[in-house]
Amino acid sequence: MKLNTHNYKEILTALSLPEFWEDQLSMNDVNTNSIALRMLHGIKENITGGVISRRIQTDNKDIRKFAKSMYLEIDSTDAFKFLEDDFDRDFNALDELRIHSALKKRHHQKPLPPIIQWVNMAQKIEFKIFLIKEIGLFQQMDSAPQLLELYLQKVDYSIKAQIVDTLGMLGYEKAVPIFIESFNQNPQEVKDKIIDAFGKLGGEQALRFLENVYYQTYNKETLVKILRNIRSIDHDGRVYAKLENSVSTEFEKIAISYIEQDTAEIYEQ
Amino acid sequence: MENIAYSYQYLIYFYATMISVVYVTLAILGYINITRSKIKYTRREEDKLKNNPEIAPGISVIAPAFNEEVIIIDNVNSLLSLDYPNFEVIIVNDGSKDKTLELLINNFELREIQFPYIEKVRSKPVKRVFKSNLFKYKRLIVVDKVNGGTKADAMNAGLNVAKYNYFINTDVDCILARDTLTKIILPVLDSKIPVIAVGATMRMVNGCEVNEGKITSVTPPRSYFPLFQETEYLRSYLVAKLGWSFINCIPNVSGGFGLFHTPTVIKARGFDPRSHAEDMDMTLRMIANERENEREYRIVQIPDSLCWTEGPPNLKILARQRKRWGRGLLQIFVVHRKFLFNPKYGRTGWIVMPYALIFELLAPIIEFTGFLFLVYLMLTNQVNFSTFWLMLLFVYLIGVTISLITISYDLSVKKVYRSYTDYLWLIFFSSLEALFYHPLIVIFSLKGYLEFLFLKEFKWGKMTRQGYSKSTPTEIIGTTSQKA
Repeated sequence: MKLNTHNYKEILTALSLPEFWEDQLSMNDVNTNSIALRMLHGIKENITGGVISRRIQTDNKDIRKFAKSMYLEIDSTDAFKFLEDDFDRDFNALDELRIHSALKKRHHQKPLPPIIQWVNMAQKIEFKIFLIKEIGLFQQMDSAPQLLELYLQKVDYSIKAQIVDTLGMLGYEKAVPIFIESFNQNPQEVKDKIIDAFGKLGGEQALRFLENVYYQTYNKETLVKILRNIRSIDHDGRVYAKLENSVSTEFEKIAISYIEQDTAEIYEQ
Repeated sequence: MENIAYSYQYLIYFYATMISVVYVTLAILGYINITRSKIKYTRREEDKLKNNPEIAPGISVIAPAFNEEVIIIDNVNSLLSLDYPNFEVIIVNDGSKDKTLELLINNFELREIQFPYIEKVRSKPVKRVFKSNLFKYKRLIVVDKVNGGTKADAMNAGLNVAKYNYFINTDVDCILARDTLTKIILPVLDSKIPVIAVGATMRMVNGCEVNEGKITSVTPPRSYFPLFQETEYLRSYLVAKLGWSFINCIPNVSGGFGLFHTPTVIKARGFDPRSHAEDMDMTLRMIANERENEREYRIVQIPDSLCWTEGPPNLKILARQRKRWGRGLLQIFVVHRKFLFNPKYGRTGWIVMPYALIFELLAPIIEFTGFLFLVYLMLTNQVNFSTFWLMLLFVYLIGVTISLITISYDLSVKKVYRSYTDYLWLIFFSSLEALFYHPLIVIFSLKGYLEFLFLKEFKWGKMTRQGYSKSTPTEIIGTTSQKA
């Protein structure tokens, strides 16, 4: 059922609902504030960042963070200001979801500014990782060279892992030789991401590298991962067939067959 | 003798007072938790998860099945209809001797696939893995394994196949609410400290209308035992577990339904097939593993009713269920005795395990000996009846009050029954619980303890399914069995 937006707006104005909930937001009660914020979020019309900003310094972390994500969604002057400041000291995965959703809405109206600027300002590892992930999700290709530069610096391994993942999402092929060179200096977390990224980046160099890694790998989960990525970039099937002919264990035989079925999965409707 | 009788009466007095104080405290903490949860998690958060599949964490739903031909198809359909963007359903056929596997193959057009099975946790050998030819069942994986005799063994096989970082441990007789996965994952996302498990409220499916694996109407059970058990479950989830959750002290995420962090369970070596209470055993081993490695963790309980299960329809099955729980509880204190009063295990060692020992494990023993003692006092004419009736009424009213609080909490979370008359029906039965239902629970628990102490081998309690679907037998392909 489609909402009659004209009548809806008229009712909001006639009953002064935005004003009512704005008043509720200034009350000194956590429950009332929380309900008011949600109501204002639902109303959206004529709500400015200024109204919400009353609650962005509050002690209650749930209200504070909700207000900040709402500010990001509706403010028309300085919407991104909290991204400059690690968003919040209690930043968690639910905030990631809220920020991502707000950024998505903004992106539908107008392309987002480069997220990389906030990556450089971020102090908290979790927030940095989140922003790097967003660069990939919003396909901000221009940021790829800077991300690769960041990868080469001494940063936390989980940041490196996310950079690899994002560059894979962006399809930044220039990263391939650098990833190959640094592969053995990284922990398994980053190695796994490199293997997955190569499955997206493709190219002869990546394919040859994956083949070599396959022969050196004993971890069964990694073996399956390598096979899956080889399969997705080995367009003429040459390397995959070579591996198929050289399998040494029953597990590898099964894994090869599984990947074949899985990647060629064609369902009946 | 007089001194013993005198001391014993004082012991009982303090015991009853303590249990009342604990329950009132848990009720207050539970209420705070319900209020918080209602404010924090709304449809908006759930919609955000559903509308942003690219960042919604994946969840594997694992349900073992052993001789479940009556309900298997409805249940799998129900699981496949969950409203969440990233999930898979893993049904583990634990060597069923009936038509469970055949029905699955025929109804979901399954084909055997080569699967690179990696044994991360131990289970009996997996024979085959199946996937469907049909797109609409692409989330379904069926694992056929050698019977291991326990749910724990089948869960481990499911875990070895699961691909996501979180999994739901459920039973094949359980029906999950459509929004289960969005609701259960929100507390995981909303925490800086890693959440290793989440529990939710379970209730009885007996009495509900179920159509093709979906609950179309919720009413309280019509038969006595599930009706008593409904209040008992609500009390356990909405008062006890929500209360414990407030101070991160949940000792047990129910085996019927719970979300777990897959790597944490694997690090703790998976479910133990030798355990009679594999759910509590798993939770405690996860806690032990996290604390011994000095990692922070949280175990959360949410108030929402997300899982409906079939309650014991008759005395025989109730006895079987409760004896197993009794054996399991006693076994927990034998296996995990290291927790008791051990500062290394924090609040679990100092608060919740001593509580479970004194007020759960010892309760049936104290209640039974209390009854015998009362008979002795009566026979020797030592009972002051004017005080006796007053005390009895006091204790009874405390029990009824806690049940009333529970039911009001349930209503405050969400009105799940169609009418308020259904709630009155529940209140009426909860007022009879102490007279007719609780004495049976005490007897069965004691029998369970004795079985654990004196019997060497146990037969695993098998729930006799009645089934609950309205689907006609002709809608199920390939069965000759009659559906109830």
